[in-house]
Amino acid sequence: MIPQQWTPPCNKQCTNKFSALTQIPWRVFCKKACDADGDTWEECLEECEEMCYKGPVLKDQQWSAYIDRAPGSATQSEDCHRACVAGCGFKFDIPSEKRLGTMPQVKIVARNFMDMVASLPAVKLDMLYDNSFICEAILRSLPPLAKKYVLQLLYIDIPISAKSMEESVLPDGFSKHKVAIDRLIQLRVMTETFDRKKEAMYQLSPKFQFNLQKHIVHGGVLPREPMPSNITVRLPSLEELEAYAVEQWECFLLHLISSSEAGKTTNISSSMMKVFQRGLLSQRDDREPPRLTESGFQFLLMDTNAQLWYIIREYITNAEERGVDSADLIAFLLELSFHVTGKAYNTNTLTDIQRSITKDLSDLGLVKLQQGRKESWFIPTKLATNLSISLADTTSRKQGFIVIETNFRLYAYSTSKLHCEILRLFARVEYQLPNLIVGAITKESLYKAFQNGITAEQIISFLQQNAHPRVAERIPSVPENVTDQIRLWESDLNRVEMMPAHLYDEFPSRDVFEAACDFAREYGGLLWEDSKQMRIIVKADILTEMKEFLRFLGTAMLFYGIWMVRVWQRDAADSHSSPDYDHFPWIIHAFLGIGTALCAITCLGHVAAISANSFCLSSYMFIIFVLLLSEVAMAADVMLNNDWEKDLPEDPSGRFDDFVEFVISNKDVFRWIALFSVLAQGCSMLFATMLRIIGKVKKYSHENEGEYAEPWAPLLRPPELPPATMYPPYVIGEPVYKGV
Amino acid sequence: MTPVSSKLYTDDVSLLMVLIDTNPYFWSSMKNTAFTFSKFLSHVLAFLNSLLLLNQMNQVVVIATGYNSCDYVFDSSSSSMQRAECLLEKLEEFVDKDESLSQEDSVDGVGFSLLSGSLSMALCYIQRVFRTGPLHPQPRILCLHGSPDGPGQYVAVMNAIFSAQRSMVPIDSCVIGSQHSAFLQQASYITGGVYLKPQVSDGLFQYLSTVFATDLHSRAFLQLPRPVGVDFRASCFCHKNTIDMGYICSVCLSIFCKHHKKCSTCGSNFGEARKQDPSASDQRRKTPDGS
Repeated sequence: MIPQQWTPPCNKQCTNKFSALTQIPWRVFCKKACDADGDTWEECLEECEEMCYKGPVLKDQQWSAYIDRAPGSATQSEDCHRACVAGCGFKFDIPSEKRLGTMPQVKIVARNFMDMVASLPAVKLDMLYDNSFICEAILRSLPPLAKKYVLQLLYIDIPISAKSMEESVLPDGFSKHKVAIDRLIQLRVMTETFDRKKEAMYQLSPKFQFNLQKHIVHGGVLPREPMPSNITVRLPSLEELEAYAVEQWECFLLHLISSSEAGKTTNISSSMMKVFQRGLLSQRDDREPPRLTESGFQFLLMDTNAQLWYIIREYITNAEERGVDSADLIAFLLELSFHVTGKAYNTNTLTDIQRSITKDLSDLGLVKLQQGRKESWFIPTKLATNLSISLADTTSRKQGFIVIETNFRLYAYSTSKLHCEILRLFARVEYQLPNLIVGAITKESLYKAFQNGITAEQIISFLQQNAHPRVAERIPSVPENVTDQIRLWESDLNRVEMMPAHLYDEFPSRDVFEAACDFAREYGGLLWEDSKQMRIIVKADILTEMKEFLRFLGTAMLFYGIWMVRVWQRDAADSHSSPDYDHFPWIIHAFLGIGTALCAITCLGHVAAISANSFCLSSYMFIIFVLLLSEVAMAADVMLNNDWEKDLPEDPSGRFDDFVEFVISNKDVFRWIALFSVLAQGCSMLFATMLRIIGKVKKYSHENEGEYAEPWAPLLRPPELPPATMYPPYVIGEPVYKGV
Repeated sequence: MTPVSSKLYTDDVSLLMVLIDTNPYFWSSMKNTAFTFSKFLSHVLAFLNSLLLLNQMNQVVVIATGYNSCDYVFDSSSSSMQRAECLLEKLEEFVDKDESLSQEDSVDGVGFSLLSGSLSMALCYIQRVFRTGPLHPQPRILCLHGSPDGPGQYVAVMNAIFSAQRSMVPIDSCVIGSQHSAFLQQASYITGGVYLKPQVSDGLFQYLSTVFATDLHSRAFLQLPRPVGVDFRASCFCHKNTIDMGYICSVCLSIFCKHHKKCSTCGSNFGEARKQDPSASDQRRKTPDGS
């Protein structure tokens, strides 16, 4: 059962239809969407994306795939999403056309063909192994260690215990061994059974084994005989064939990114084109032309083989909708890769389905179709024969065309429109000659690219891969200063750290300015100073930090007071019938009073700090001063007077004794609290002093509001970034503003 | 540009030079053991097929080691299909040519095959591959050898081994004959290859596919057979005898079984040097003490 065949069932249907969770993980995701909390279709989709597009929990650890939300191979993520969207559609009654259009933003991973094969259901996979070419292609796609295991087990008919295989593995290679075994089991090349002692035993799939044995004894054979050369006249030479393939492919790509630009039309149906385009292009509304998405850009910068894989993958995943079995399609594509490039093969040897596939493939440039007098034939190009070669292999690499000079000028010797379009993504194209595109890499053009989600590394690797043969011989092929600058410009965007700050200027005298600077420096709040023009920038949060502490203390005391009132009321209710408000215990009063006072003081401090009113600040300072004095007096009394407790009035509630006991039992903690509170008060006073000085300054410029607002705007901003509203004000480097 | 090159060739792409022993005297001596040359060939052919199956970029070159000569018999990069036919045809030609070169009277017992020659040819081929550019498959040499060591080839074989060591080419050796081969033991030991003498020669393919098909990349993760003991004995340069103890020229490190007055390799005069040296060193030692 694969997701495409599977109609959107929900809730009970989901659960009833599929029994094993491990086999059909996407069942769960359908159900999750059916039960989603979101009230709209969009919200439901958001949940799908959150749920399904999540990397493995631990990278490079096989087993972590099981903890992963969308388990198994990477295709599972897409299956999960499809299932989830199906569930959402079921919940909100959305027609299926709309559902198919919602392909999420997935980062394009140029994935191996074999991952797709591995995600086929077991029955189909076993069917594939009837074909010896597929066996061969799959063997070649395996990791080196897995290949070795297959070869080792090829002539062994009985199951081999896992232990005996592990014996030969060195400790360093154990993870590789695990990966190899997992891959073999995933592809069902090897089956895992358990013997009586519950020990794992491995055995090769008999069909696979048989086909490979045949291959080893008889050597490789061709899938079908090429046609004799007397029938096939005017066969293209290999160079012509390659040129044809490249041309077809570029035409297809140009069509893909902008249908209007392409001169030649392809025969690929517009619905097919839409399928390829989804994820690469996005269209906000119908009037404006579709825009390339981030992944679309990444797609264009990939090399041909990787692009081909992406398209083929999409082609296969959509095979079911066109009524073609994806297993058949995979089988044919793999078989095609074993044909000899440039040889003609009779189309009569193909089935109807295969014939229609070859038509599509000829539009992509994988095969060339030719019509003779009586018969027609197809000629596989290099693109097709490279299909089964792993992705990393780039023997089909085309010749480079880009020359970059150290002065950031870019010359591209190319006639292709596609190249011009790609270059336009990150460079300023200045003029175009028939076979030459001249441009420059500028800061602006790169910022545009970065904004579109292209990374510096991608651009650099694109430039290196496509270096003109003349410069490709040189090392490095792209001048170092250019690559470094591209990286620097990228890191420029990530380098700025934002910090709310205040700018103070127009100090009345140099002494005041220096005093303020010293003060700010002492408290680590000085960000920037300019002694010539007497301006400083200070962190906004120093004062508030200090005040926070006082407020906390005040609030704590207040709460303690309230709690004591409650307890006293309860005690009173127990002893007398009604609480005696005349003998309201003084300790509660004291706590409530001090707490309220502290809060009020902090509040006053806050107001004073924000308004920077000198009167407010003065009174704040005075109050704090009085507070400090009284604290000192009390401390002195407690320290010097031995029976200080007698000075205090009697406490009817007994709370005071409790409190003293509590303080004595936690002596250390309370010593610190006391120290901090005194310190905080001292600091607040100092801050207030400083603010008073600065407050004077502020008064001068108050008439000129417009000018004063200036320092709040971001002073340095990359030209292409969205307006300042998104950013908190920040300052870096030399501030620039008018009026000074 | 290193990332591109590492992308082009995956880790396990290998170039395997297979040296097969076609010494007719050796194979005639094997007649009574039921492991005949044709059986051996069928194992080797299956092995070659399986190597080429593993990766389409893998390359296999077969060199036949005859009694009088050696030659390239098969190169997978030049012939695409019908490998077996191609190889057998070339091999037959080679055996005929090798036979015509030999003189009837020269052999008594099992002769020695020309291991040094085929090793040098393999190394030449590898050097040529190295020079095609920075991108090349990882080469290794596999010796399928049966004939006993020819002490006469000692110097040439050792030179080939050191050359392989310098260019980091491991020499794997699989001994088909009844005796261990000291040359190949040393070759595998020095170059970091695998030396194996199969217990059951009928299961040769299994040995080949289990041990010798392992590419260099995978060898880092696997436990391959280690030699129990290596016969480090050398042959003397004068009589080509294998010796435990002997004389070594202090100038060129040539080995002799008897004391000679003059080194036959570099021409150093031993007798005088021995007389002069101790007295000279004694004098030199005495002067600082005396003063």
